[in-house]
Amino acid sequence: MSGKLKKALAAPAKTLFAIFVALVIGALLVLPTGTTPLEAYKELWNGAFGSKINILNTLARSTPLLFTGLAAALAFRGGVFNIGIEGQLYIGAFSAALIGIYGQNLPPVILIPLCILGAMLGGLLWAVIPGILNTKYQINLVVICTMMNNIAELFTDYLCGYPFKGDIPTNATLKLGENAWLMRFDERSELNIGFILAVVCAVLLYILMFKTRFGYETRALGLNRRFTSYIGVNVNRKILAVLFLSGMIAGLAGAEQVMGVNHRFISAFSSDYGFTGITVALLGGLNPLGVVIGALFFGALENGAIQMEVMTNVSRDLISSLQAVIIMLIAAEELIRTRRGIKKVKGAGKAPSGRERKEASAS
Amino acid sequence: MNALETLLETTLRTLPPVLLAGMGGMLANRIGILNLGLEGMMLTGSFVGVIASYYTGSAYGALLIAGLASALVALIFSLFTIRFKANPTVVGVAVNMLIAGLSTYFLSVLFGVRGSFSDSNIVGLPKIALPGISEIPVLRAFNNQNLTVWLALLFVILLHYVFYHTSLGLRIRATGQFPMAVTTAGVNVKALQYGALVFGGFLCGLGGAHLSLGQLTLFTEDMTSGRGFIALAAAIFGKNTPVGTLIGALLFSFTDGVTRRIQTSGFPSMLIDMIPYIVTVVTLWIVEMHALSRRKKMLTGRASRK
Repeated sequence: MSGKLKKALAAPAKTLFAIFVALVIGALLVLPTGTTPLEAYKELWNGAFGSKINILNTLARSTPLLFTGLAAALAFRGGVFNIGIEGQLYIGAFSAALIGIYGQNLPPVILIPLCILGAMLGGLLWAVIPGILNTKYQINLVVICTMMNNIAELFTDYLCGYPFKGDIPTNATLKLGENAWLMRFDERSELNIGFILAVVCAVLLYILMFKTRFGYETRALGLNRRFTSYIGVNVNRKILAVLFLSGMIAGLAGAEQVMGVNHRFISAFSSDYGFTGITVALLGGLNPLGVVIGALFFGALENGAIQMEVMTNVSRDLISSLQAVIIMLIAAEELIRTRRGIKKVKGAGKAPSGRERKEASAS
Repeated sequence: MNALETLLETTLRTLPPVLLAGMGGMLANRIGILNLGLEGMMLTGSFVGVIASYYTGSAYGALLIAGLASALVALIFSLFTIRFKANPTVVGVAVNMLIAGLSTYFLSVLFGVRGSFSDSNIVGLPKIALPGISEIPVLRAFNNQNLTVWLALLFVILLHYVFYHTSLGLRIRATGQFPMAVTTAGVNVKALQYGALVFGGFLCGLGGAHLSLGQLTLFTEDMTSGRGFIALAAAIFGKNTPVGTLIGALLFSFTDGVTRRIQTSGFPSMLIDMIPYIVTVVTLWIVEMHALSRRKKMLTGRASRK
C-alpha cells in the first residue's frame, strides 16, 4: 500500500473503531435493563430503516444535525471551538419565526429567502460577543459560548412566553404564515426541502474549505496559529470570520426546524442539536462531506432510539452517552495524527510543552 | 436576621459548588491543562451523591463516594489529555456530554424516572449548628450551614498554604509556567498533572454533592446548569490563586443569592435566571479588559524608557 492510500484509509478505520467501541459500551449499558443488547440494537435498526417512513424520518432527524455538524466542522477545523452553536441555533430560529409571522403576506419566493437570511443573521449576531471577547481579550471561547447558550435558551423562552406568545398553552410563538413553510416530501414525515439545502450547503462548504484561499488559511489556523500569522494572515480577523460563518450555518439549523418541522418557534425545541453537531463533525473527520455521513449516522441512531425506547425498556438517553465516547476516542486519535504532521514539518522530534498545549487550548 | 444577614447566609449556602469546582479549575490551570470538564465532574458528584445516599442512608458516606466518583471521571479526563494527548477542550466537552447522558440514562435504568428523582430515602447533608453564634450579628449567617461550606473554606486555606509554603506548591505553580524547568529539576511533571486534575475532580464531586444533598435532596437532569463554567470563570477572576478564586466564587454566589431573592418578585423567571450568566460574561470581560490595559501600559512604559 502506498503511503498516501494508507493515510487515507487510516482515518475511517479509526472512526469505525470508535463507533465499534461505543456500540460495545452501549451493549454493556443495556445489560442491566434486562433487554438483550441484540434485541435493543435490532429495534434501533428497525426504527431507523424499517420502513419507507422510518427512512424518511431518519433523514428528517439528520437535517438539523447536518447543519450543526457543518457549523462545528468549519469552526473546529480552524481551531475555533464554537460550543455556542446551540445558542446561535435558537436565535437564528427565533429570527426566522418572527419574519415568517410578520411577513406572511409576502410571496414564498421572497419570504423564504428572507427568513433564511434572518436566521443566518441571528446566528451571526449571537457569535459576535464571544468572538470579540475571545479575540480582543483572550477570554476562553468555550466558557463564553456556554454562558451564551444558557442566555439564548432562557431569552427565547421569555420572548415566546411573554411578548410573542402564541395561541397554544406552551411557550411558543404563533404559527408562521404558510408562505414561509418549507415543502415536505411526504405528509407522514417531517422531512422537508431543508435536507436538500443542507446537502448543498455541505458541498459549498467543502469547496470553500478545500478549494479556496479562505479554506487553506482556515485549516492552517487550526494546525498552528503562530505559523498562520507568519504566512501573513491576521489571526484574530480570521478567527472572527470562521466563528461568524459557523454561527450563520448554526442559524440555518434553527430556520429548518422552525420553517420545515414545527412551523412555529417552540421554547427549548432543540434536543441538543448543537452538541450532537460536534460529534457529527468529529465523526466526519471535520470534512463537510464526511459530516453528511456523520449526520446520517446520528440521524439514524436518534430516530431508531425512539422506536427502541417504545419497544424495549431501554431509554433513548443511551445515545447521548455513546456520542461522548465516540468524541473522546476520535479526539485521542486526532491529536496523534496532527502531532505527527507537525513533527514532520519542524523536522525535530520535540513534543509540545505544556505551555504550547495551553496556548493551543486557550481559544 | 436582617436582610443583609439573610443575603450573606444565602451566599454562603450557594458557595460550595462554585468554590470547590473553581479550585479544581484553578489547579488544572496551574499545571497547564485547561479543564472544561468541571461541569461534568460536578454533575457526577450530584448524581452519585444522591444514589449513594439513597442506598447507604449515610449523607457523609455519600459525600465521600461522590467525591471519589468525580475523581474517577477526572482520572479518565487526565488519561485522555495527558496519556492519549487528546485536545483538552474536546475531551472536556465530551466529559460533560458523557455525564449528562449517563446520569439521565441511569436515572431511568435504576428508578424508572425521567428528568428528576427524589425519594424520602435520600438523606441530605445535616446542618451544623454552632452553639452561641446565633446571638452574634453578621456571624450568625454561618450558623446551620452544611459541612461542605466549611470544607470549601478549609480547602481554600489548605491550598493557599500548599501553594505558597511548600515545595509541592512551588512545583505546581512552576509547572504551568515552565514545565521543562520543573522536569529538569527532577520532578515528575506528569504525576503532578495527574494528581492536580484528580484532586480537582474530587473537589468538584464534593461541590456537586452539595447541590443535590445540601441545598436540596433530589437530583434533576443537568442540575449543575453551567456552574462548572462559572467556577472556571471564578478561577480566572481570581488569577488562579486560592483566595482570588474564593472572592470570585463569593461574587458569583452572591449574584445567585440575589437572583433567588428577586425570583418571587413576579418578574418573568427566565429573565431573572439569565442574570448569573450575564454577570459571569461581564465579569470576565472587565477582568480581562483591565489586564489588557495593564499589559499595554507596561509595554508602553518599557518603550519610553528606551
